[in-house]
Amino acid sequence: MKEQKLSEQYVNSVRNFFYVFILLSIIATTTYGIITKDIVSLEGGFKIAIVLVALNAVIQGIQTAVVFAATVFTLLILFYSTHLSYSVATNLIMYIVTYTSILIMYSTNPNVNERKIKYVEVGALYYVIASFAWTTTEEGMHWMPAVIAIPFAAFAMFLSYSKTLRNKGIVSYLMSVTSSIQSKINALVELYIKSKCVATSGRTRVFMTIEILSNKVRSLKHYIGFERIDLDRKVGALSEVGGCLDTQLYKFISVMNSTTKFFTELEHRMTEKLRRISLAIEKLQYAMEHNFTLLLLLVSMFVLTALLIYIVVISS
Amino acid sequence: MYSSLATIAVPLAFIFAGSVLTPRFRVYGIVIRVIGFALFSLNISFSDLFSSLILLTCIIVGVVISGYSVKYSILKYGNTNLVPLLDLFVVSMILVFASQYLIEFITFWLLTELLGFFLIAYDYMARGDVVALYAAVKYLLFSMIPTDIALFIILALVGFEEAFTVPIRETFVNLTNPAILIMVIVGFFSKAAIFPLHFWLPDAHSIAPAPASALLSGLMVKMGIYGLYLISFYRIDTSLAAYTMLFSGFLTVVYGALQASLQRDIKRLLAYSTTSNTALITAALALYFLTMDRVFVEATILYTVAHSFYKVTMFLDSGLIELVTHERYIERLGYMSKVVPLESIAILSTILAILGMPPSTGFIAKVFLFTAISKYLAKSWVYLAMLVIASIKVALSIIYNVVYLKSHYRGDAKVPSIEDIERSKSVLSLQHYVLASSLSIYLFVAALLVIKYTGYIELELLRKMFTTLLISTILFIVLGATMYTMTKGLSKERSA
Repeated sequence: MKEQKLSEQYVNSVRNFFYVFILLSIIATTTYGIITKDIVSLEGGFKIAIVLVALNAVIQGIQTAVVFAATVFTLLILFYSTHLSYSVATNLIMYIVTYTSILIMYSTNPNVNERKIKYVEVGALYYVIASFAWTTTEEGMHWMPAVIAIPFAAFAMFLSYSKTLRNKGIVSYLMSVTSSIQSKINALVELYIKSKCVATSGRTRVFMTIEILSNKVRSLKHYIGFERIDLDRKVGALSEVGGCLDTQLYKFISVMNSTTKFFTELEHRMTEKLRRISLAIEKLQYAMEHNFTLLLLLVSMFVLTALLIYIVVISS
Repeated sequence: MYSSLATIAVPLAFIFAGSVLTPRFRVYGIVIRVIGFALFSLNISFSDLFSSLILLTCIIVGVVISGYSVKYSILKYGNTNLVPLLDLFVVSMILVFASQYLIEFITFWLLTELLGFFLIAYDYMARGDVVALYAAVKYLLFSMIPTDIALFIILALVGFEEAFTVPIRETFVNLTNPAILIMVIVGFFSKAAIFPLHFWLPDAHSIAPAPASALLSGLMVKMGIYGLYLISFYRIDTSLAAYTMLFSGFLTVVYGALQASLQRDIKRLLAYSTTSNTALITAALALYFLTMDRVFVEATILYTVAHSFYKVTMFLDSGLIELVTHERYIERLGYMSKVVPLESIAILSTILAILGMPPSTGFIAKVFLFTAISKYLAKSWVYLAMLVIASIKVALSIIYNVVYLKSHYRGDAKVPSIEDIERSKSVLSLQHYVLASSLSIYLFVAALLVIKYTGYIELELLRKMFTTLLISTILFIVLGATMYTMTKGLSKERSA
């Protein structure tokens, strides 16, 4: 048992080694590509970024593999589509769409480990900024290389994982810079989840406060005996406002819920449809393979056609 | 003349001697056979990039298989009868790719096919398994016959005299007749398992013994691609050939990858992924037919080599899994990483390599392929379609590789008992061969760079990628060394 546990640890450590290696390769290759303005190196960096996403899929398992595969597909199409246009604006839009799609895919996936997201996010963000910097430089916008400073920030973020360098001055400064960038990225990812939570708790709180207030006023009214006082009407109006607010909040939450459900259902539907298509094709294939007459027909057709071609075309 | 004969006869003599010695003196037998395969490298002339690189791949694979097959054959069948058959199969494939004349090419091709038939039917011969015979017959009808028809059409068009005297790439073959061209192309499609004659492959490759499946999937299907590549030297209607190849290729890429993602049998999964990969290679070759740009041929060759190593490693792994667990269904596996950690690491690194991790052949192949496509993206919709198909392929390959890896890592997997592990200890030495095969996909890059910088091959894009490869190699070494030092320090601390 102990031996098995050790084996598992051994495999996990090598897997983490691959993780760090791939991440560093993305940063190094892309930085080199930007410095030397070499598109092949940039494409190389992008290809390695794809492997990082794939490694994430490998670690997360089959439940998330579809999401990762979709991410890779989107990334590949968007990245290589930039070759179709030479406009900076189009490229920028494509890069932003690419990055946003990654964020959405990750944030809607409940199984994704937080630490893993960090790697991928940094890798993707770095890649997007670096490639864009390169493109704009090519277009003559020379102020953009200032963004190249980002790779060093990303690199420092990696160093922040290393305990030995944590206490050194320069690293801690870079760490603070990168952590602020990181927090901004995380804020974007968590915005969706937080807004959902805030909306739910807000709705509950408003509703409860109004009800408590209403009860209090009612009890106070009974206690004092001012039956004809206008307070009752005012509380009623307040209650109606609360109700309206409540309805709006409820709508907002339901829209958000339906969006989440839509994406999940879409994923399930797609998988189911693909499975059905595949089964249908397999059935057809099975029928083809097991139909002896068809088999004989095919073979004789091949032989006869070959003979005919030989006699009619080649011999003549 | 005599020297070329000697470069074939001497390695053959070594392999034959090794095969004779293997049943009695296993280690000596393996060493002599390895020398025999290595000596075949004298046949590499580098006059043609495709044949020379695939020849080099065959030799490396031959060396790995020579060790693996002995142990596998003893463990599975109780004898070494499978070994000479496998050796002869590799040798015949080496001779196909080393052929200088059409007649040599056809002769060794037929020999390879015949040996392939016996390897698929091996379980029938050894154990009376009728399913193996059925798969072999299917292979005979849907792969051998159509390919042979294609070859004999070419032979008929060339004539015997030229087939013996004129080098294969300089032969004048008039394939302008559309019917003949389609027949020849479909003939080679059947060997590469591309639609419409693709369905023989999943049965054949999943039934054959693991090292045979590795050779069938890793090298033999590449003969079909080599055949298609040779057509480019002849007089053909390039548009017709290209669009036929693209149509069938696109269909097979998606179909094969989808089927692979839905399989639960590890060998069938690998077999379907082969059809998908060879179809993608064929589509890349079709783009060469359209553009006549060498970058597509280079991408095709590199992808072929990368896929060969990948598939050989994966099938060898499937053989080990079968021997350890007597199981092929992924749901019932999942604990391999606890029993054979080295094997699991080898498989993970192989998968990452084919997905494009540097500094591997897979990385170079992917960059070559996508760079080549993006170069022509604005020119026609065909290249855009190719980009979409290639991207689908990459995305689906992530899914089926994750599915495959479930046989190695799964949290809820049933852990085998100590008795089971003890029983399978004799099999575990096979993991070193799998690791060697996995490392080949990385080491081949070094070989490629050496060949490139000694001036034997062109590969213009490789020059541009040199720094990238160097950076990643240095990173790998430095990071590896750091990790090793840290682990060593930690273990010292623990023991203290």
